[in-house]
Amino acid sequence: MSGSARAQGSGEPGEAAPEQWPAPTIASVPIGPGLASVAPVEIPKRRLHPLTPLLESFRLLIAVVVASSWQVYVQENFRIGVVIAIIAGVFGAGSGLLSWLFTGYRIIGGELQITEGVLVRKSRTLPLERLQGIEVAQPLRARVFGLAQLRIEVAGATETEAPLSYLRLDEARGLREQLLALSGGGGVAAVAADTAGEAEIDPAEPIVRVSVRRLIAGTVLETLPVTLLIFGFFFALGAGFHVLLELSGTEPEVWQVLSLPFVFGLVTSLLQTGASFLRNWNFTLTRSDGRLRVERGLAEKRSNIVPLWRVTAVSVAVPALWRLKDWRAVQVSTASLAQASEQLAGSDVLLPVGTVAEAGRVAATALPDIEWEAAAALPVRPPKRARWRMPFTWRIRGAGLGERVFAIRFGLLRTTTMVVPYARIQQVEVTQGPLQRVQRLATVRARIAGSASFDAVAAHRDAAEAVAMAAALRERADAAASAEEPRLS
Amino acid sequence: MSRREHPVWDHWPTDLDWQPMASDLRTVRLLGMSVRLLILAAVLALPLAVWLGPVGFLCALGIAAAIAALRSWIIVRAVRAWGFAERERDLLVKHGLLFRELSIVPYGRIQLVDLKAGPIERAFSLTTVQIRTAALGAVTEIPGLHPEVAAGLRDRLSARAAEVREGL
Repeated sequence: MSGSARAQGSGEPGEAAPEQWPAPTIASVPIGPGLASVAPVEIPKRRLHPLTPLLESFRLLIAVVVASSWQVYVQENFRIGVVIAIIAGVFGAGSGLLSWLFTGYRIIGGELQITEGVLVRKSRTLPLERLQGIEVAQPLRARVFGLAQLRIEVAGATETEAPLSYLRLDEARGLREQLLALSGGGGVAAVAADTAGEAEIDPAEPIVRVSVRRLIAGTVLETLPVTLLIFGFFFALGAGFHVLLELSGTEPEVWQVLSLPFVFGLVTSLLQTGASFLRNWNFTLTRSDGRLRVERGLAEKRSNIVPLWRVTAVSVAVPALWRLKDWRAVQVSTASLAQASEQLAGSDVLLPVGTVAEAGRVAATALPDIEWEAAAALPVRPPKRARWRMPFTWRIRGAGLGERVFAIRFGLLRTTTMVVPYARIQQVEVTQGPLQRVQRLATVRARIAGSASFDAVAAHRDAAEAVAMAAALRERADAAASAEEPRLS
Repeated sequence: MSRREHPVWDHWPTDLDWQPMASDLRTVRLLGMSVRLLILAAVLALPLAVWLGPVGFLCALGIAAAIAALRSWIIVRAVRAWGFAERERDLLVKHGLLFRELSIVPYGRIQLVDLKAGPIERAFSLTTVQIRTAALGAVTEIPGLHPEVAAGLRDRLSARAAEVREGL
């Protein structure tokens, strides 16, 4: 083998290789029916709403007001306060106005172009065929004026590319429709045609609506174990030190020292609970034209649209204490990385908390041709000899191959069943560490588009089974991918 | 190990035509290790000599030589473990000695194929092929290919990728 490779190296460069491995000719047209041609929509350059500078410098304005009133209060010097306010106002208004004048967007040749920057001109181009989802968000301050923000998610972007803020609400919605239409008429049409045979879904009738009472109960029950863990940890730590110090005869002041991080942890956890609670207020999921639409939010109203054909995986999670109530949460993955970002926190949630039936309905909506009940029953435990590696999660962990999906289960505090359609699997890996080798175990990883955190991992399977699983995954991925409409990128 | 060990990829259900890396890859890897070791030695030599004295210094040298010998042995075996196999619809890459890894990349999912070569690799006219899919956590590498083999592989990969586009 190595000899043949070397023989080639010594041969004339560029001559030996083509003889042995002739490169196949590139097909001039992608195999299968192409994308339905979309009428070229172009919109000329437009500006954002004139109130944008005011809203953008909202925080600055508040800071100015606070600073000047503080001056007035402390020094009882009215003049300094006014001067500060005027200087900051002129500066803020001027820079805001300038940046507004130089910011604009347009659609040209299937791409959204955003230009901005006064001194350093910046022009960003978003290829719309890579669109993963668009959210129209209305922060409280924008809602007062009937304005909205457009947050666009593109495959491979680490953060939300170019939040267009601010636009009039109807303008934002109109632009979203245009962008979605441009993003791949073929795919949307295909999904719509696929599902036309099913029971007619009324787009106005929500698939699920989460009541405030259940949201409160669910959020509290979800975060309670974490809070209790923090509490227990610091309590045990404090008690330990207390006893030690008392034995050594020193006055124990350990509680005062330890209470600080404890309170900090508690407050953060409470704030997070509150935030997720406000975020998912009035949560409503609807579906129309092969798109999922999520409406939610109390202070900031958000409306997110994810095209169904962008869904790469669906996860159903059961936080530990939800088992008492038999509740479920549903999440969806797309190729966008921005899902993990602060601004879009929770944009992947399809159901914050719901009953088993609701979760099944939501999951079935996100992956229309999957038997959810059957898929959830697929995961099989790893072999018993792997038990000592994961004493707590051995019972929970599992992986299994279904007719159309790869299903895995994991997580102790948040038991999650993740289902990946075969057609969405990008590449497959089998890894084996030294200990695993001695035990004849191996780990299978099915990678899906996006960051590594979305991968479906079947840990510590029997080595032979793992490799067979990888081979089967590849085969089925090919079969599934060739059966569906080809989509570019 | 007394028991005959089976690398994980030996369980693959069908027969695979594994292509080995060019044998020069061993030399490249060994040279790379020696260069790194020499740089480390040059930096540490004087402080160690002062600190340990002549006898201690000789001992340190001996330990370093032993480590280098062990590393060389591992490198030689690790290079032998590398391999790739082209199938009809996907590419298989195996590597690793202690931590074994088998990657399977379907042609239809390939987004990017890169060729790259470091200075030592270039001196032996070897190239590394890097393959990326839309899964951002993974880069599949095939090191130690002769440039024409690498270019041929790249051409075949891109041609196949263009033929069977499978999307995200």
